[in-house]
Amino acid sequence: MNFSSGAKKSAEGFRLGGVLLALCCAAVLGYTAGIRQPNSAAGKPAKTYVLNLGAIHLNLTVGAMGVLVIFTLTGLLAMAILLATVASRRRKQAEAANRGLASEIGERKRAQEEVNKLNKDLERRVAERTQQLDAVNKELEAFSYSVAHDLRAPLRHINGFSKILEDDYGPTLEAEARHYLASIRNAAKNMGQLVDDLLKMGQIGRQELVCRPTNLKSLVEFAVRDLQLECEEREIDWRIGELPAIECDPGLMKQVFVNLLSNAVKYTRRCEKAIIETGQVTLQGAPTIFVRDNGAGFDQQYAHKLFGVFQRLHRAEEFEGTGVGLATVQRIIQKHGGRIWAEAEVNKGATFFFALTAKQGSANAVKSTTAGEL
Amino acid sequence: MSHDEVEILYVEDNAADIELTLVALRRSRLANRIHIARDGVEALDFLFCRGPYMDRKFLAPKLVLLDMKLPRLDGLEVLQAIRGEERTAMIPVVMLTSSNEQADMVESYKLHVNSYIQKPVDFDRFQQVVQQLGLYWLVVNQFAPINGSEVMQAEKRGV
Repeated sequence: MNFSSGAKKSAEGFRLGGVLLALCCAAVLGYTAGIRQPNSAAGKPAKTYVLNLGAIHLNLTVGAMGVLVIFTLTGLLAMAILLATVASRRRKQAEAANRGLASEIGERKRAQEEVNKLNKDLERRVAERTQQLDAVNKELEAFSYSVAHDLRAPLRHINGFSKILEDDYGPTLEAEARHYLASIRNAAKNMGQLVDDLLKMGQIGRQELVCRPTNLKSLVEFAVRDLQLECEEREIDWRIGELPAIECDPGLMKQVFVNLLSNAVKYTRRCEKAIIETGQVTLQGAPTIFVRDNGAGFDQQYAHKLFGVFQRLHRAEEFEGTGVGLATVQRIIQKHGGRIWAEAEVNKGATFFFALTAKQGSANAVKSTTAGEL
Repeated sequence: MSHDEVEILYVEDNAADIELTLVALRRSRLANRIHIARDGVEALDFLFCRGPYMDRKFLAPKLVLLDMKLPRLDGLEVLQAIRGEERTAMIPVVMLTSSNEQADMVESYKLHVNSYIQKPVDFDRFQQVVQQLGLYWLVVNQFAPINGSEVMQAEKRGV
């Protein structure tokens, strides 16, 4: 738009120049004609002619100069007009560009303000959510505190009074009555164990990892020593292979071995000669720790249920348990950024593998499922 | 039994717990000289001979068995008060509680508790624990001379 209006202006400039030129030419010609006419009428053509020639020459020279001046002026004028037009066009272009820039800057400012606003909104929402989560956490803590104190107490009372009844009045009771009393005591004891296990798992969930270089072999040796005291009458062949020193939370890692090894002790109870083995293998190039036994094993088909809270693959009459131990183990391994899985066959033993970096593990291994939250 | 001869001050609000503990102590023949306080305030009144116990002559018990969750003043507050007073600061205090909550345990040890014991659910084990506790603190352990010269000096200074 700017360009076409500029072009129009310069075209007008040229037209004006042309008109001026034509007027000048007409004036010069008219002047020379006017000089020649009276002379020819006086009958002295030769002299007049000569004189006239001089005049014409003069006239022509002056005219030519005029024309030249006019041309130059016209050209200059045209050029000036042209320049002015170009300048005006450029100015307008610059103004338009400036306006565009200004609006773009405005746009950006608005966008920035929008981003700031969204950020602030997000920060506020994060703060709100954090506050909510903190509140929920506090509530959970209060809940587990209350469970620890108040839920255990009645269980102690049930167990205690049943025991006193059994001790003080047992002889006067019939066998059936004593059996019921024993059942009451057992039930209270089992629930007490369950409450303790659940609280422990909740505690592990909340606990921060305190990692330091830890010799796993001595950790396992400590755990085995504790377990040996509990099963002195059993014949168990403990095979503790080479284990690495790694960066981990020693307290929690000991809990992992205690749970896995005491499971191995429990599920080899019916074996004449139990073999419990632990060591390190390399699976797909990654160091992997294993705990293996030759006990009851389990059906690999249900391996995905192994690490769920309260999930059990054996009946309570066969093998006692609360279904919290392996869920706790998995929680600890996951807290260390690792994963755990198991391979087993019924009556041919079970092997638990864990790798402390997430990428490790065997291809045909069963992926552990995420334990439910407490 | 006179209040002065108390060997064990047992602070517990739950009647069933009191009954079970007394059975366990009696079976261990340790329940003779035991005083029961039903909350933290009563425990401190007894120890410091104030309120309903203002006529009691101060004599430190050999052992304070303290529950954690108590009405009015809880176990930790009672422990703090005991440790904060010169004439009671050296009395052996054992926390005998339902929970094994780490925070409680850590706080108790920070306040110089002598022992922290979680009451087992199984009564056989509870009885063992009570028996071991009683025997250790009443028979095996040697006491700082709380009721002797130091206390006399403290009394002279008007503590």
